Amino acid sequence: VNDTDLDELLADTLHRHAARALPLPGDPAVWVARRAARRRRRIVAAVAAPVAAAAAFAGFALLGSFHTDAVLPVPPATHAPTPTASAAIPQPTNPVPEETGHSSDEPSVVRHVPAAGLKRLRAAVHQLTEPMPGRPAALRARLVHYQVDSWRSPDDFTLLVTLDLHFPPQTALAWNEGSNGRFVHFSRGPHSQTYQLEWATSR
Amino acid sequence: VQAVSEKGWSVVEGELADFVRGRYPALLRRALLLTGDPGHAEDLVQESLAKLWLAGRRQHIDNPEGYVLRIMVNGSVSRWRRLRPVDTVAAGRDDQLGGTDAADRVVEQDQMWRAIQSLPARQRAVVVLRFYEDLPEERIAEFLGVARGTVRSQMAKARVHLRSIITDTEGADR
Repeated sequence: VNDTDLDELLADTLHRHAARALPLPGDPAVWVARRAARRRRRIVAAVAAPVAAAAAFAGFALLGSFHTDAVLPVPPATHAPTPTASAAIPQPTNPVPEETGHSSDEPSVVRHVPAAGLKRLRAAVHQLTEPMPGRPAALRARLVHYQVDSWRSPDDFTLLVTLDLHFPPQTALAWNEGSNGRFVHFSRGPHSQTYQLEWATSR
Repeated sequence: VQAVSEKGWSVVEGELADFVRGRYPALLRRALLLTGDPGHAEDLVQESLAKLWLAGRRQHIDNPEGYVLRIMVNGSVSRWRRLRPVDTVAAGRDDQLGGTDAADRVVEQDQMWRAIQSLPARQRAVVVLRFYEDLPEERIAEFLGVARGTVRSQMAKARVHLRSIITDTEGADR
């Protein structure tokens, strides 16, 4: 194989495989804005925590407010069940009848997440079975499990979800065939009942 | 630079938001080549754009495309260095490299794709920038923050590695 043949094959291969990358449904600007905000909060917290700790150690009570403003809120224990705790929760005895293209199996953790949020999540999962511009429809999409990953308020929280997705053969997506773990951030305005969802592969 | 709706994050507007919406698919394609994994690619793109987003709040970015590409390349080298795929040897193929049939070409490309993913992260970045982005050596050196000679040596090592895998597979098929 000479250099010319190798280079030509390299270029062809890269362009062919690059075309396999298809974005998730939704507005990437919203995902990025949200992610940038989380990144900024982490940076502020990383800077503020040692300062606040030093201030507290020195007895400057006034500086304590800086600490409480800067550090990310920690969700109550009830909102972050451990895998052991989630396994202990009984499965529903009367599952909802299955819908077309969407298994209605209840997830193994069902508590404290607002009903409107769960409804929105199920609808979003179901939408994966519907064709969208630039993306083929999944054959099956099922919400297997979810748990609270971080909690700031009922209007601003993140779930770690596990989906079971199956796509037509020869279909390449940003999703994997089978099990998919994703972080789903839920946010809504103070006077809004509708959540905005943001999908991400990491916090 | 951007305005965020008071009702949450339902509306994000501005120059950077337009850039993100317009360039996201292309950036995702680059990221897939750099990481070899769809999930990691999404993560790399979003993390890189988040850095761009924060930088854009502090200062005007003249060339956001170049800025984010630099972040992505360096991010792929540093963060994914330990996540090299282990599937370094291609699956068997039916014919020798150079076959004219379209199916043979697809097999060759699949074989080459697996070989590319087996490259160390920096070599993979050099290959992607050279053969996908079509950048000259000096621009690649600029993106990676290394000397031009380093780019040349990385490319030479990548060629040797890729050729050895292809040759090994050819030998196994005979």
